[in-house]
Amino acid sequence: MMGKFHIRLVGGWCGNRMYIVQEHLSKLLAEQGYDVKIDQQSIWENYAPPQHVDLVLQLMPAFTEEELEPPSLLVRPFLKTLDDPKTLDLVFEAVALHYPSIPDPAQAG
Amino acid sequence: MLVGLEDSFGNPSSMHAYGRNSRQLVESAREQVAAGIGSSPEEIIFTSGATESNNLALIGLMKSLLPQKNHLITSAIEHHAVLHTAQALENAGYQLTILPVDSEGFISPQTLKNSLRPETALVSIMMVNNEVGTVQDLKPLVDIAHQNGTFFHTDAVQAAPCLEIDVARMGVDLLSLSAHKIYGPKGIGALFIRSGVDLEPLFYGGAQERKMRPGTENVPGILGLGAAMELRVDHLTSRLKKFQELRSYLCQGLSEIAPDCMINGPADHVSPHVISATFPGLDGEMLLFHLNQQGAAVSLGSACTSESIEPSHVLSALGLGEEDIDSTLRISLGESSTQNQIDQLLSIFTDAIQRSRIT
Repeated sequence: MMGKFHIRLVGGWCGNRMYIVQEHLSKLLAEQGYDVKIDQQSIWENYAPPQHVDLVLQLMPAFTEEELEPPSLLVRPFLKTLDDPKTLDLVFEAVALHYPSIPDPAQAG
Repeated sequence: MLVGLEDSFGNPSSMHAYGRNSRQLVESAREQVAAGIGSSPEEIIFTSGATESNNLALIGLMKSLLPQKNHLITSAIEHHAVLHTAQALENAGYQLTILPVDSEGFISPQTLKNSLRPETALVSIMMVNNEVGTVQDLKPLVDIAHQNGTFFHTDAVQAAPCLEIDVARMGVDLLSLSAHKIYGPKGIGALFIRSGVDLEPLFYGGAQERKMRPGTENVPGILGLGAAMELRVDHLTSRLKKFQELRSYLCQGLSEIAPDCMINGPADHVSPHVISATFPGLDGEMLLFHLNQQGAAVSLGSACTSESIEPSHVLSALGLGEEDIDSTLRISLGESSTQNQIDQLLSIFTDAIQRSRIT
C-alpha cells in the first residue's frame, strides 16, 4: 500500500481517554501486522465529519453514516472497557475489510 | 466590592485610618452573612470558598478532638470537597463511616443512629444535594448526633440559592457557604462555627479570623459575599416560587418531548433549582454538545478523570446504572431563567435528542 491505513478516532471532552484508546488500538493493530496511523478528533474542537481517512471510529454517536464518507463504527464501549471483545472484533473486522492488502507477517511489530 | 478595590485599599489588620476603614467594611459584611443564617457575627469565619470551609470544618474539628474521638460519619452523596477530605482523614488514620442513601438521596435517621460510636467526633451531611437537589431533613439527624455528644457539620452551599438557612433552628455546629452560588464573587466563602466549638486551623502565621484562617483578608470578596447574602435574603421567597414554577414547567416539557425521561431525586423535599434528568438510550455528552451548540449550558452526570469517564458518585449511590448515568444531564435554574428560555431549551432538545441516540 502507498501509505499507512488512516483511522480517525472521534471523541469528546475526555482527551485522556481518547489517548488511551488510541494507544491501545495502535498497539493491537500493529501486533496483527497492520500498518495503521490513528489520530484523534474531539467534537469540541472540530465538529466536521472526517474526510480523507480510511476508517472512522466514534466513541460517541457524533456523525451519522449519511454524514460520513469513510466507513465508520461506533466504539462507545471503549469509554469504559478497552478490551471489550465485541467491539474489538468489530474493529478488527472493519480494518480487515477495508485494509487494501493482506498484512505481511514479516512487517508485524 | 468596588469600594474594597478602589476606595478602601487598606489592610484590615493595620491600625491606620485606611486599615480601620477596611476593617469596618469587613465587619459589616460579617454582620450581613450572620444575619443571613441567623448566627452572631463572631461565629462567621471568611474562607476562600466552600471547599476550604469544608476542609476546615472536617480536618479542624477532627484534629481538635484527638485522641479521645477519631470517628467521622458522612454520606455517600456529599460533594467531593467533603467526601475526599473525609477519605484523606481516613488515609491519615481516622475512622470513617460513609452512610448510604435511598433512591431519592435521603439518609435514614436509624442508619445514622446505628453508625454512631462513643468516639464519633463529627457527622457531616449536606443540606441540599448539588446533583439531584434532595433537601435533607437535618434536624432529626442533628438531634441524634447531639444525643451522642457528636458535632454536626453541613455543607449548605446548594441550599443558599433558594432555601432558608437558620442555624439556630437547624441546630448545626458548623455550616459551609460559598458566595458564587448566590451571585457573589468566586473565591470567597464562609464557615459558621457555633460559639464554643473549637477547631484546629488549617494554616498558621497570622491572627486574622480569630486565628482560624490566618492570612490577609480578601476584602473585595468579603464585601461581595456580604452583599450577596443580603440580596439572597431579600429575594428568597420570590426566587423559590419562581424556581418551583419553572422546574415544574421544564419537567412537564421534558416528559412530553422524551416520554422515557426520568427525573432523578425526590418529587418533594427537593431544591427546585437543580434538575437531574436521565434520557435512556442517549449519549449524555452528545446531548450536552448539541444543546451547547444552540446556546444552552447544562452539565453531565459523568466526569472525565485521568484515565476514564467516571460515573457520578451521587447517581451511583441513588442506584442508577452506568448506562443511565452516562445518559444523564443536570439542568440548573438561575435568577435570570425565564419561561421563554425554557421554551427555547425544549425546542432545541427535540433535535438534540434525535442526534444523540446511541443505537
